This record gives sequence, structure tokens and C-alpha cells, in this order.
Amino acid sequence: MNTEDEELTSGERDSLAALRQDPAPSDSLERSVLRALAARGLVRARRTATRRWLPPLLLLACGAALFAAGVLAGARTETPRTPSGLPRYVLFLEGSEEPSLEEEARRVQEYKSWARGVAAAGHLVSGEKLSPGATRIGEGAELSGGDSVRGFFVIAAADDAQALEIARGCPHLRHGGRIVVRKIAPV
Amino acid sequence: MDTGEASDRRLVEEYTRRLDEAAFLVLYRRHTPALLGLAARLSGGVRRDAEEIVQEAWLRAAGSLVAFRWDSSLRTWLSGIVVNSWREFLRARRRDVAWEDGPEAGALGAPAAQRIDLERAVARLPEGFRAVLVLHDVEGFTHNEIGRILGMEPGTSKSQLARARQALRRLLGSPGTTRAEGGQG
Repeated sequence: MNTEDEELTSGERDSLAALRQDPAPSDSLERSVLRALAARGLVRARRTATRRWLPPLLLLACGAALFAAGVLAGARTETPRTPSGLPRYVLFLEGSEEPSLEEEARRVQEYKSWARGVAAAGHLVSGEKLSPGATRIGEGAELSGGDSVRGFFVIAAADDAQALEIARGCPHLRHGGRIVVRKIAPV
Repeated sequence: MDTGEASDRRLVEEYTRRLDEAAFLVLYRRHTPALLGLAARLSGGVRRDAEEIVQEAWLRAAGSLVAFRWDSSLRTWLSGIVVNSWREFLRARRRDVAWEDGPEAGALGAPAAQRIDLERAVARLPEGFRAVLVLHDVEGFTHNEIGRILGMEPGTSKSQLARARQALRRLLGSPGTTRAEGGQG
């Protein structure tokens, strides 16, 4: 490699091509990727035949237990919980660039796909896209602001870290938006 | 870059329709060796860094696959995500700690009586040069594909490559070299 010519000599070409040795990915990397995808609601394990044929009575028993847990959880004055027993969080989606109509339609599908994954993982409670503009009432209503929220999702998560992990997977961040994560407080 | 595009399409469709783990795993296992190799070459051969970059790339890709328009091959698109993840990885690392023995620390200014091999020389190229040179001369992407991956005109990729090769030759052959030319990131 001692010429200043732009083109590679055959020796240089061979030397550089020899750098191309793709390492075998480790099993731990695969597990780590799958765990992270599951936490963000981006992958759903295929149901197995065993699971499909769970005896109906067992399913009924599980349903009754979940119902009882939900009733008991609702009776307590602590952070509201979903039937799965997890605290809830609100993800406020703020700002982001204004897309064209075509791009917006595409993004709606993208957000829906993400939300389907979060729901499949048992973390999504609800979510809505908000129309532009806001009407303010009450003291200080003449002040501007409050209309930066474009939409929201209510999710269930084990703790703050998991809620943030789920929020990081939301496509809103890739489109220049911000997400404010708030835990729903006990009432 | 034939990676079985028809098969990729079917798997992507299966994954995005039902977030099917099995379909994702086939895609993951098919493309990860090459992506990990690319990340390793970009990050100077540090496996831990390469794995972190590839993991981040797959998380981004999984969230964006539904919007992938197939105007390039899946491998090219994934490689672009790896390159972007690598760039952000570098930026985050620069924020957190100063380079200690990384590619752009004292290496370029070090006395070049020390013999450096090709891989280390590539790792010492500035970010923009390294990306173009690795993508073209090692990975075998065309300038059109590199333009799509790096968000630049194919002509810019070509001129960057010429300068990257010159910088690499200087690193390998000129003991007094203290710094390669800039290179657009």
C-alpha cells in the first residue's frame, strides 16, 4: 500500500477483503435481543400446541383467580393496578415533526403495530391520538400551552425501569417526538 | 448481496403481521453474522462494542420493519441501521469518557515506528472515512448503496473513498503522519 493512486492494487484489494470474517454471534446476544424486544412489546412467542389445548377447566380456574385478584387490588388504596397486578403509567407523546398526509397514515400503522406488540405482551391498557388544539378553562386559562401532547398510551409495567424500556420502543421517538412517562398515583 | 429477498419479504411480513418470534429469529440468525462483522470492523474489532451496536440496531429495525419500503435489500437497510447505531455509540462514548485507547485517540499521533496492521489502521481512520472504506472495500457495497446507507450522494461516497484510501495508505506507510484528513461523518 504505497501508492497515492485512488484505485486499489490487487494486493490491497485482497488484504481488505481478507478483513471480512464474520464472527459467529453468541447465544447470549440472541437472548439479550429477544428479551429487549419482548420488554418493548416487539415480539410475541408463537403459541405452542400444549398451550392451545389447556383444559377448559384450568382456564376457568385461572380466570376466576385473575378476577379475584383484580377485585382485591381495586379495593386497596394504592397505585391503580391492571388485572395482571402491575402499576400503570401514562406515556404522553409530545411534539414531533409535522408529517405529510401520506407519511402520517404510514406512521399511524407504525404506531399501531408497536401498540399491538405492547398489548400482546400484556402491557397496553389504552391509547389515543389527540386532535390539534386545546381549550383551557379555570384560573390562568388565558395562558398559552398545554396543546403539545399529540396522544397518549396507558401501559402497565412492573416498575419505572420497565415503563421507560417500553417507552423507548415507541416509534414516536424516532420521529423527533418526546415522551413524558408518568406513573399513575394512588387515589 | 443476495440474501434471499423473497424469503426475507415473507419473513418480514410474517413478523410485522403478528410480531411472530419464530419469523424474527430466522431473520435474526440469517443476517446477524454479517451485521456483527460490520459492527466489529467499524468499532475496531471490540466484540463487546460490536454486540452492543448490533443489539441496538435490531431493536430499531424491529420497530421500523413495518415501515420498510423495500427500496433496497433488507441487508442493505439493516447495514444502514448498524452504521447509524455505531455513530450514536461513538457519540455517546465521547460524551461519557475520553478515548483512552480507541481509534481516534493518541493513535494517529503516535510515533509510527510502531508497525500497525491493516485492521488497526482501518480502526484509526476518521469516522466518515472508515464507514465508506469498510462498506465499499470490505463489505462490497456499491456507491449507490453506500449513498443510501450514509445519506449521501454516490459521487460523495466515491470521493470519500478515494480520500479514505489515501489516508489509509499514509497510516500504513508514512512514519511521520500525525493525522489523517477529516472525513465527513
